[in-house]
Amino acid sequence: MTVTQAAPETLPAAPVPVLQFDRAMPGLPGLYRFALVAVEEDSPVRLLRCLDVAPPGPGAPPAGRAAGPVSLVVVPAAIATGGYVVELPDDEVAELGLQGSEDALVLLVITPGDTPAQATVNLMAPIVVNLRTLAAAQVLLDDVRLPVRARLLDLLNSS
Amino acid sequence: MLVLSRRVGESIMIGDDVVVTVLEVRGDVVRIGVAAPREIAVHREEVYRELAEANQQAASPSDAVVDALARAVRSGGPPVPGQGTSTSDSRPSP
Repeated sequence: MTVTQAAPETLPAAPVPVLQFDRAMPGLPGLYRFALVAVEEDSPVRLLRCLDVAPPGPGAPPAGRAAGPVSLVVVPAAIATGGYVVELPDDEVAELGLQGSEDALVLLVITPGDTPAQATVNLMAPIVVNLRTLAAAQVLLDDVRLPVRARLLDLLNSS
Repeated sequence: MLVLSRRVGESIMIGDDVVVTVLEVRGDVVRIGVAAPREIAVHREEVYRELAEANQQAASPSDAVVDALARAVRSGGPPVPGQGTSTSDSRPSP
């Protein structure tokens, strides 16, 4: 299934949606429920704030990060210029229960740098959300050309 | 590490429901088929490790970093709704 990018305004706002992952994201074991929270009113940037407690061990966030629940900064793929298209494998479509591309919201995980100019975006493994059921999965796309670390600002500016 | 020899077409069972099959051997490239239940994710090792590392680096930024990103995307990016979203307007209304 080819997912056309949902516009940022289709993000549900209230009540705060809770995304349910059936499979934990790589590197973040034991974490399945994430609230999708707005950061600023007129920014498409969202925070995925985990509602589960991270198990101790190698999956715990490294020192120097914010204490408390695990969170990820995400942005709708719709902000990406330059023709980023998500081709979802059939088994992921079935697993997420997607009936059409309009069901799907594609979120890109941002790895913040010291400044926004250094921030990168994971294009290879977006988070795909079924907007009807809020089932979610980080989907590893089968396209080796997609980078795990694309510069966020390049994505915004290259039109 | 357990080491087994297999011919093309032969398989290995891992646990009760993961089957790894050697499909083709050509030079130094081996094509392998993996049949596993849905809850077991199957990835190339180097890709999985890269993704896990990226997720861990992305996890739990400070509030200041999150706020800076929110401002950067709003001011540096296309107006919201963004470019490339023309298809969202063509959705048939119920």
